[in-house]
Amino acid sequence: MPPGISASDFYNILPELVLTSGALVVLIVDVLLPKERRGALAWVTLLAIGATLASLVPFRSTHVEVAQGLLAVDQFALFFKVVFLVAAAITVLMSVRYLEIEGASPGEYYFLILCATLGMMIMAGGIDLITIFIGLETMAVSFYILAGFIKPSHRSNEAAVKYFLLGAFSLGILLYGMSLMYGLSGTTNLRVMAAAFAGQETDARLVLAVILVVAGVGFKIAAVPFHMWAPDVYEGAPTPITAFLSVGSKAASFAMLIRIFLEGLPSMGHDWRLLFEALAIITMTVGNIAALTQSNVKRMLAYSSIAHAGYVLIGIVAGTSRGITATLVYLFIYAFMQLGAFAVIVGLRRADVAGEELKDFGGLHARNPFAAFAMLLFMLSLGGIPPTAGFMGKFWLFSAAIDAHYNWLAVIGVLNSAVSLYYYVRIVVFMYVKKEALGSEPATSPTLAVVLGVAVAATLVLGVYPRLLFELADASARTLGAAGVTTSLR
Amino acid sequence: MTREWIHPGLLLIAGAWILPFCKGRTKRAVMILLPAAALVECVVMQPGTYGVVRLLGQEVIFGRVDRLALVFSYVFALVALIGMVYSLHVNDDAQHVAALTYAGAALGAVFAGDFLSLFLFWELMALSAAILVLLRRRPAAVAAGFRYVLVHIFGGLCLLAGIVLHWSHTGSLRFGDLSPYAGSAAFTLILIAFLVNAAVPPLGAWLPDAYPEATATGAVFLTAFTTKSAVYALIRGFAGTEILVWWGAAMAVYGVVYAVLENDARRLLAYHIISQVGYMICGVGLGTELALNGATAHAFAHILYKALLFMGAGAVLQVTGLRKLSDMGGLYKMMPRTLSLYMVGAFAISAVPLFSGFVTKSMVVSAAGESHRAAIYLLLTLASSGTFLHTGLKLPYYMFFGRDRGLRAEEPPRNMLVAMGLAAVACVVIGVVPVVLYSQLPYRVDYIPFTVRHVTATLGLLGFTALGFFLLLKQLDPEPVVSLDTDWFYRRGGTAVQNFAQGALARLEGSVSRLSDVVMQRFVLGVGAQLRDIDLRGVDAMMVGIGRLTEEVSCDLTLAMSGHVQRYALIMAAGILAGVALAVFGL
Repeated sequence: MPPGISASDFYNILPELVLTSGALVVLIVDVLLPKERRGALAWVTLLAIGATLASLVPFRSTHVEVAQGLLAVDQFALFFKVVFLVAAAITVLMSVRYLEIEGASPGEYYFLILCATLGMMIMAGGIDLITIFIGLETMAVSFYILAGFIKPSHRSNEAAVKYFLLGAFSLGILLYGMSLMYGLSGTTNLRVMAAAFAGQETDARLVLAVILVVAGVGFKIAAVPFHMWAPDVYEGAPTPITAFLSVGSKAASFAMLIRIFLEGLPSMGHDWRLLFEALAIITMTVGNIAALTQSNVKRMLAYSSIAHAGYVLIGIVAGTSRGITATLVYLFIYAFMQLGAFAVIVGLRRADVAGEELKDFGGLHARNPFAAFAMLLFMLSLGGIPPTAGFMGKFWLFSAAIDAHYNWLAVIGVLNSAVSLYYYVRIVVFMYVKKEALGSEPATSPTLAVVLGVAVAATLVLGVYPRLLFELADASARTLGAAGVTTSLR
Repeated sequence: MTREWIHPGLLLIAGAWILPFCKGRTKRAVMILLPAAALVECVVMQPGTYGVVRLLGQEVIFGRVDRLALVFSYVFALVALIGMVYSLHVNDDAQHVAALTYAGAALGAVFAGDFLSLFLFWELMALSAAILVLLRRRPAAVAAGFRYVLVHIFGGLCLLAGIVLHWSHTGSLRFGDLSPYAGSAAFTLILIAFLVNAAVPPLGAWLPDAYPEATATGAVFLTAFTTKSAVYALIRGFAGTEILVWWGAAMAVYGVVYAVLENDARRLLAYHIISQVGYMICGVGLGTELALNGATAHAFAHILYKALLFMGAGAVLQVTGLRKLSDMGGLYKMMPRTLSLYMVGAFAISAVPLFSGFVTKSMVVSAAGESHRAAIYLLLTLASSGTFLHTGLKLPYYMFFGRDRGLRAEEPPRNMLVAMGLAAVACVVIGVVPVVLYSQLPYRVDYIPFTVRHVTATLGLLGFTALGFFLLLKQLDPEPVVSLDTDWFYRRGGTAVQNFAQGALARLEGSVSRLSDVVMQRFVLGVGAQLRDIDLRGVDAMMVGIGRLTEEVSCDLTLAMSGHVQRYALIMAAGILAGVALAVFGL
């Protein structure tokens, strides 16, 4: 065994190990199965995800550092891991039908989804810059390939190339910022770094490092002005991947953001709060206003997802334990409503119709009342109308901002919600009032129905009874930071 | 939960979903049984606190039952029942579900003991009402419904912002008297939110915009709940707020002036809602026990007679498909029952003795007199006379009498007549035996409406208004095309009137019409047109302008997405530079 690594470290990364083995099993089964029966790979993938979820159970209340501070196994990481795994499972369920229609081979696809999930899990647990970067790369490389997975489609290819080029650019920026952090503190471990920076005079080079890391993370969460890739990539990528990208990748990047800034740079709190405040305002505003005139629903949801990154940043800016709780809660809720909305788009995809244009939603109510009702619910939830979960999430975010005396930020957030309702309600009007556009049934499948059912149930239940989620998120937010190290939680 | 208690609002909201699964007779039975059950439940309910749920560390009270909440719940449940009877023949589940949800949400708002549940039902009310408008499925209705949603989202956001501020100030979410916090931002925001729903000008343009576009049956529900639940909320939170006295009185006159310009029957009635709600808001502002009783009682009576009036106009719309007064006329032969039932409502709104409006409206007016506010008293009396002029005389005249246009019509379906009959009976019962209503009011009532002085004063006012109407008929024409059908007037009026009219009256008319030229056309119509212009140019243009601007910015932002990776990278780099600039200058 290498020095510094003990057997218990291997036990603590059991979920990651299970997921890795699952991914490898998917690759092997792909080779073993005859070509026409490879659809069964989805179930193998789901099994791997299920096993990983089960292996998380022993770590319910663990709070340790693995391999001398490379990874943390705590409830904060656990909360995010559950989000990633659930999102991955829903994505897989969505993909079954989609892959059949597109005629793409499922083996590498599911393998890459599991790899991306693995990367996210490492990002959420990482308390060392190196670990975080490895997790980030694992996730990003998987997504580069997945975005271009529909090989005959020009849009999909273009999306992949754009995502790759801009992703490489932003990773370079991030890495530069990280290396400055390392150079100034002499360590890559975030908790040691926080102790090293505590009480120091503000260094101009450290400010530059903060700006560069904010830019790099801003790219990943698609915050304006680092959002430029998002609409093109979201529109071009296969729809289930777009869904996973906008939920999983975003949540993982927020986990990374919280780890780096709250655990590693609490002494720079004043600087990065200001940057994130500016980012939050401009992201919410640009995202919502640009979404107003989109006629492609995938593109519209891309802008809406940009705007939601702005809302979530409010919780980070507030920086109180209530703010972080609100961030976690919102990311959890957002996962369900966003995945659900994309599932409806997947349902509209047929061999001859993309099902992404606003007009494709015309008269959906008459063709498939359940899908229309589900979409109605997701739109209301994204817009923050009670009694859906989105309302609870936004309410908590804004009240956290007011609690931390960022009243102005909450006001802008509320105004933006009002703007956003315009384009969310527009879809609803198309579905319920416009005349029928296509006259044929949407391609529903049992797996898709399961996805919609789960998302609808979550959106409603969390809207009516959010207490358990709040308590879990609160407990998770409180585990941030090692004992003895002051974090910036106020 | 403190005790076994079923929320009547939730009963309606949840029960509504049974409807799509029933057919024929069962469905009609369910449509009647649901609101009837809610009504029975409200009537047997005892004051107390029910349905307390702990949420986010706050007590959420779904059932704060006291005398004020109860009296509103009675009339809400009653009008829900009447409305469902009225729409029995409609074969559109979506409308019924939306209507029942709307009624349930209004009941929920009335019983809400804290701001969180109030906000929940408040939003649900806005949403279901908008759906009711949308379900007419005409382009104009869709546009109006959309505007309705946007206005109410604005109101809802004000309410939410006010609630959050109030919460962070006081740490409590209880919904009670807010006057101790007068002047604070929370107080103002919540007041604005309530005033939006009460359709107080200049925030009330949504009401005459949306209500006439709803279906014949949907409009009956719309008239009842949104404005009156706002009146309830104002009584609860803002009793005695001075500004409401003047605002309410101005509103009472405003609605009447606007109604002068209207040709669409239901739009005219919609402006009269604004006018009538003005009385209630004025009563809330006065804040004395008599005034608050009056506001409550007037809301109660108003819901019933306004529903009756809208049902009458809706019946004509249903049968003839017409909505413009200038296109109608001569329907009295074909629809005598509709006419007589409508006239009960018209007498009630005009406060004719022995009809409900008389015993309730006079409470507010008397409260103004008792508080020695002569100007308010005068304004309210003026509005009274205007109301009779339009709803009591002008509308029925053009709709049912007027020149016979040879329209083919018949009585509406029986269920519509039954519903109208129910409402008419309620109007008369309250008018004849006011103690039925008075005994339910939140404060003890010592008020006696039937004094000799009061009755004669009212009759005098109404009599002169009626006289004025027939004198000024030409000036009141909704469109110059419609002319006075003197035939009918003379035949019914008898020879005495005929002689009088041909002789003395004709000379009088000559001089009065010259006078009326100045008063009616130059002044009243002029002011009305000016007001409408301000509304259109100022308020609407501002809304449209903001919308356009936002859309343009949105298009510009879209253009920035050129699709070139180099440019994207450039913008990202610019973002980093902006961050550096922020750090250098801002930190």
